[in-house]
Amino acid sequence: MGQNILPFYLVCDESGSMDGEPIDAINTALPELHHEIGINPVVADKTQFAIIGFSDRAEVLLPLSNLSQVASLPVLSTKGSTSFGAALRCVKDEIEADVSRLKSEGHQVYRPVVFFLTDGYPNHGENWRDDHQALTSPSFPYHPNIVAFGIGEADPTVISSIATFRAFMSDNSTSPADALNEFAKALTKSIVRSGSTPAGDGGMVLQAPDQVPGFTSLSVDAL
Amino acid sequence: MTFTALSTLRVGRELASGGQGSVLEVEGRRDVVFKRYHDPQNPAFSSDALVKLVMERHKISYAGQPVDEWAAWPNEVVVDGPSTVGFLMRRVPDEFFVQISGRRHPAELSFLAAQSSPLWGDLRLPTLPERLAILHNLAGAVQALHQRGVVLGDISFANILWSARGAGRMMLIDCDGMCKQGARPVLPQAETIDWNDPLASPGAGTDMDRDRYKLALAVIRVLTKSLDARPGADRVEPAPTGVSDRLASSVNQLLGRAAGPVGSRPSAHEWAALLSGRDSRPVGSTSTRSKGAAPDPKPGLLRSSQPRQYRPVEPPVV
Repeated sequence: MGQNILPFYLVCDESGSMDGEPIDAINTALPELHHEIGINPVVADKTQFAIIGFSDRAEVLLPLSNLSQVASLPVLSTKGSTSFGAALRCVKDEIEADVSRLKSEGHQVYRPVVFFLTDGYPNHGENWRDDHQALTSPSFPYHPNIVAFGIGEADPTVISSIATFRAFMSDNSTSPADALNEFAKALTKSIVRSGSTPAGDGGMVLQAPDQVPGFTSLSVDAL
Repeated sequence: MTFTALSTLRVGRELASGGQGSVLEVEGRRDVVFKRYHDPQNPAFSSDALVKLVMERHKISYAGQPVDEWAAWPNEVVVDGPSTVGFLMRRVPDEFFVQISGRRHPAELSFLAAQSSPLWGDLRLPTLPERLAILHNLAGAVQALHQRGVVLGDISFANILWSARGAGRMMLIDCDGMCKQGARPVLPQAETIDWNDPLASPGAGTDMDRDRYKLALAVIRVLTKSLDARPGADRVEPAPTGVSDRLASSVNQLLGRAAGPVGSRPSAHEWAALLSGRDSRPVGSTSTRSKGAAPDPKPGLLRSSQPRQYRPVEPPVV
């Protein structure tokens, strides 16, 4: 029987600048997220989760999965530069393939959600805005809602441009590890709330927190 | 009626945070927790509704058990100066939590409506008789609240906890979402995905009939171990569920009515009676009773058909 599914994609910066405390914090937080979502029968049934890491190139580290069926998680590791274009193209390809597959299996799929996390500037000279436009344009029928988080040296203007739903920038009131821990909690909470609170039409829609401790909320660029 | 000043409470760490408020420990009072609303200045917030719930507390009982025994009922309104900011309620006892991979989780009803997951480890789930007892107690609690004119509203997996100690005990949480029939709740109530009444118009408020439908959802989902089973579309089959033929037949009969229109749905009392496990036997209706012949009066006793007799009395002396 077809299910209702809300897909979540974590698109995480694995560039060299994330080395050390930041990437360790993400690797520590992901098993917590997996536990919280995976053991919750309702949320695990209604949401699926994927992880894409990006540096010079993007890589699907965890294909879109029901977390209650996932027995091991990838470990994120740092290398190279920060190609936003590769990340945005990769997530678009994944969304296109995943949504088509789920629909062909008889499932009802709700608008996908992307949590985009970076600590740096996009590679110099990279034309990532075209890739962003292709991902978020209404002409792409599965265009996702994007929640963007910037930490460290990330540019708040770029973070605002990437987000279509909410944008947050770390305010240095906490350590990068604590901020990333709060990021992971916000992601977990969004998945739980989105998977249990009905939208106006009874379906599912992204429910993301307005405020995240350790982060300042940024305005989101109007499309 | 108890009002407690916020300044007299030593508010401790946050235990949980939801869309409307946070639940916090109160230092020095292990038996209660404090729910603090995020935005009590919201025009939709009704402190009167909260006061009414607290005033109901001593009037509600089920099977001789006061409401505090089976629901985290608001029992003291917390005020900050002239403003209501939240309430105190009983802390949910440890027996309503489970340990999974060394972490503590509320024992939500959804665990009983899903197929076991490898992630749950060696979690001990209630047996079928225990599940029936949990559903029986749930129906009894709903009936007790309906008797007092209280509408539950958001009956759903997350708001019903079961005891990990067995014995079929259950506990209702998030009780500040309930309200007296026809009155407004403390805050507009969130619905839960897949717990909607298909016959209710979108945006319609809560009422007892909708509660009855949601109670039927809880019954069918726990008995079929399905997160989204619906009366009318699904049935309780004896073979996979272990439910006896007789009980399955009776449950399916009530489920058939639950899928029907407003006014025809089985009451919580009917579910409680069915799930009690108690035998019942049919009795004749008044129209089919026959009148038996009256026994002959015993000799020497007054015949009721005799005319009443009188004895003379002396009139009082004036």
